[in-house]
Amino acid sequence: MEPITEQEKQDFREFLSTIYGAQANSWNINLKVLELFGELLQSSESCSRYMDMVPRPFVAGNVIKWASKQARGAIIRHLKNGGKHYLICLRAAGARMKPQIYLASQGL
Amino acid sequence: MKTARDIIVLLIMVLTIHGCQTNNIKHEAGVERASTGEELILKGRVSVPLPESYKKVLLDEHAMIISAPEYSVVYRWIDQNEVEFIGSNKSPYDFFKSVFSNPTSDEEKRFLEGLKNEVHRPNSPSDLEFYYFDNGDGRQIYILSNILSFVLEVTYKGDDDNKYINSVVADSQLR
Repeated sequence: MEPITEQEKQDFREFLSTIYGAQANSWNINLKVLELFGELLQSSESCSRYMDMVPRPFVAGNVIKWASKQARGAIIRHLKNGGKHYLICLRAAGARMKPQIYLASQGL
Repeated sequence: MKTARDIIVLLIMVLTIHGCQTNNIKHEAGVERASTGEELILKGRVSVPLPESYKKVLLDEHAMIISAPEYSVVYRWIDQNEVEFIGSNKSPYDFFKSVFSNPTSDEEKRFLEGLKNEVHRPNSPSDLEFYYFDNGDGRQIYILSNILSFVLEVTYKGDDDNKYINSVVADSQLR
């Protein structure tokens, strides 16, 4: 796995804080957190009208290739380019996954 | 100042847990236990059973984690602000009651969207309502009462998730 850079961590914290509020700013971003975030991004059919699905080259089966820096960069660009409404739409579905992401951010 | 307040809250919770260790609850016979009979009292209103043993307790403003090598449990209290952040103006009780029984708004429908497993509503000897599901990593249970200003969410990840969730249903109480 290519290490997650501090800039990438900051970008993902911003996406998560759009879904979860300011408390996400203190979460540690690791591979498990990204996997759960990816699961959330792909979970909601009713929110998909706000955004195209995640770019196909960076998805294997239904799983985003988070270990790849290139894939992470593509997802970050994809979400920064108009993903705000999509992320807000994911708040309710995200609330269900919050304890899992919170545990993962603690390395548990 | 905030750090000092957090430390005081943590101390109160630790003392509450410690105090309860000498006052075991009565248990019904024949129910398989995953707890010692010791209580964790959250926000002074809901008593839930503590897991059998634990090595670490993590606490912040929004949640508490109790963990051991073989499991982790997150306890979260979901208040009005969090429900409003999700996009609903209902009370926490009304929001989750609708989510689990008759979702009508977009937010209520989206909460369970993508969940691969069904929601169960077990019977309980207490006045509390319980709804739980398998989240893929473990089990997640919601504890509701229309006299509470919050909903309690307990998420168990690890071995014996079924046993612990059963003990939550059997032994949790309003105070």
